[in-house]
Amino acid sequence: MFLYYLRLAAKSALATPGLTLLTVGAIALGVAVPTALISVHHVFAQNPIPEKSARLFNVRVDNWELASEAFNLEPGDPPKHITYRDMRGLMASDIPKGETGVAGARAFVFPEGKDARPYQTVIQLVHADFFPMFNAPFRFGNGWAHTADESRQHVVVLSADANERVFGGADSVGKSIRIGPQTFTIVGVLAPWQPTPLFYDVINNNNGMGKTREYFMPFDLIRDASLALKRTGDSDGFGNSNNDDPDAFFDASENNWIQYWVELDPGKRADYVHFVDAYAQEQKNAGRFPRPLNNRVTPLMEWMRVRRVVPPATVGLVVIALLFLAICCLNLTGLLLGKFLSRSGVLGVHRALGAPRSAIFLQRLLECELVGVAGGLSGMLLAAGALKLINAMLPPNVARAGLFGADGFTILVAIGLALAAGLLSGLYPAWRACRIPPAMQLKLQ
Amino acid sequence: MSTLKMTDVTKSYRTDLVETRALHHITLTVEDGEFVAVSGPSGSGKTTFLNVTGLLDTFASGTYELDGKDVSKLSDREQARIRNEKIGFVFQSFNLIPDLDVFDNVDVPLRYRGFSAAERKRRIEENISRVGLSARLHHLPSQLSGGQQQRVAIARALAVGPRLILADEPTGNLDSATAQEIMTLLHEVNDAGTTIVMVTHDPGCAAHAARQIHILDGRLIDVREEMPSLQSPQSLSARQRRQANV
Repeated sequence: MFLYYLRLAAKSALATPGLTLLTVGAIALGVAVPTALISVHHVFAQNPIPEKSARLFNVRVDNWELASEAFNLEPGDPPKHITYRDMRGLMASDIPKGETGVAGARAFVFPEGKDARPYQTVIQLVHADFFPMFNAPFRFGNGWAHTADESRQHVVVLSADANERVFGGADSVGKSIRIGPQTFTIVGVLAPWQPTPLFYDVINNNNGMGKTREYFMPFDLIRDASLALKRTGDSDGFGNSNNDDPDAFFDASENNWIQYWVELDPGKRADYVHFVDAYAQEQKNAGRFPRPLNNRVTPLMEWMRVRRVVPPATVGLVVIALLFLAICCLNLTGLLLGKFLSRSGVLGVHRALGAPRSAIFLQRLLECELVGVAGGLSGMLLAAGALKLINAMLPPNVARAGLFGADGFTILVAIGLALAAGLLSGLYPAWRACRIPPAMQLKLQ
Repeated sequence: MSTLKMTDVTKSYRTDLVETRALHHITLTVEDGEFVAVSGPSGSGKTTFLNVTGLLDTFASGTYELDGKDVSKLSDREQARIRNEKIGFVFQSFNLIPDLDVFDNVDVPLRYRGFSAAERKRRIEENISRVGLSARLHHLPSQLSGGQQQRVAIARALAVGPRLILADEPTGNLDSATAQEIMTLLHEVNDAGTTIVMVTHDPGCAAHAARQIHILDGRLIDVREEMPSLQSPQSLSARQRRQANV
């Protein structure tokens, strides 16, 4: 009977093409706006590494002085970065399965070839564990060994874009590239990799919407004065940062500039928190960390929330768009009520021929849902257009092909919203239509 | 055995200020195979009587048995099932569903009955053929004449094999020649054993019925009981005529 009711619903919808088109149009418009905004929200809010996000933790320790407050989104939070010396101290633990600092440094790259021109870029400073921890995919070669971290070897991993730009996409592993005044050996080339959001660096890289950096180097090369790497990105500190004395800066300053990540096996978090607190206590004993213990070992998705990767305005816009859809639904309720009552006679005939109230209710509701789906599909096309427009309006440093786009999620949202709109709009008219006594309906024929 | 038996049925319409009694203590028995004409002036309660009889409307008090079953207090679903299985409706304005062709219009009650596709097809073709419209199976109602539309309505009413046909002014919108054809068709249906209760203004049509009932101000006057002399041989059903050999 369901298919039969569906057929009747389709015929009824086609019997009033003008009204049906108006209804489809209203639903399309009502669905398109929230669909586009929900899709944008989804891009910000999605889990960028679902297969292991539960095992990845951002680590912070509170080294801040008593006389001032750290620059935080939430009062009472520890600083969002850690110092170089605290990173070294935390790396003494053997609890994590992997650990890496993440920071940026500015440098010039000098590609070979007579037509090639040097260009400035931001190098991503990371440790060897970065690549396996974050499931970075390699097209050629691999990351570097832990020994390269310790011995500050001049090795580099290129992104797919950088390899395309400098080597035309060929296998460049083993080749050399000049970065700053020194030459580096390429040990690996990533396959195209663009986590969204760029979770390991949501502070410096356009709130997580920036592009993957083109060059990855062992973190401690920042201490190699011969490379002249310039630290870049957000940092917070107090006291004398000793910027003129590199060794003093790294080993003794209270300048927080490193996002620090660990990978913990299930069940190891409590142990690691204990270790971090013990480290902080040790620092207190040494005269640092004047505040009460305020350390954080934050799971990745929680870190995304702490850093407000989803802009609060997006949530507000989604709410407004859903209210707009609700207003569309209210208007549609009036239209559908008018239509169903004007076709009361036909409903009366069905009742006379043996249709119970429930059948009439279902038939009318199906008609609403049918119109809703048509509106949803049209709305999805409108939403896809709107997302293209949003992509086109993005600044160049975050512009990537298809950052926002109509995918399976968008289709699901559009159809889901359309079905909900059809249901909300049609529930009352369908109920009213089935409640009229058949004798009255036939009188209206 | 009686097809329908009403006892003391009363129905009122009420507005804020006025209460109108549409049916006033109606007591009536219609036997199997009877052809009953219900006449009366406009507003007398004929259509209300037909609606109550067809379970299309409720009534305030009294009892109503249809085919031996008390239908006074049935649920909506049970009433719908009885309408589908036991009653066929023929309306003055035909009441075909405009979006559906002839085949699909006749199909509607069969769908609600839950027949298989093959059985539905057999019944549709058989009844459309019975009213002489096999060539118009896939025409929309708007492509048919009034007489043809009423034939489709009769085919639709007959398709489920009802015990009772309720006809509300079935010739009201037709010219006299077509009206005669429809009356002949209804006679044939009655001859086949289906009970018919027909509301009509037209004395000529009423004369086709074996029994005539008048409704006046919601009260029922059974002509057979009150004025037996008005019964003519032409007004007997075919079965009665055969039995009386007239």
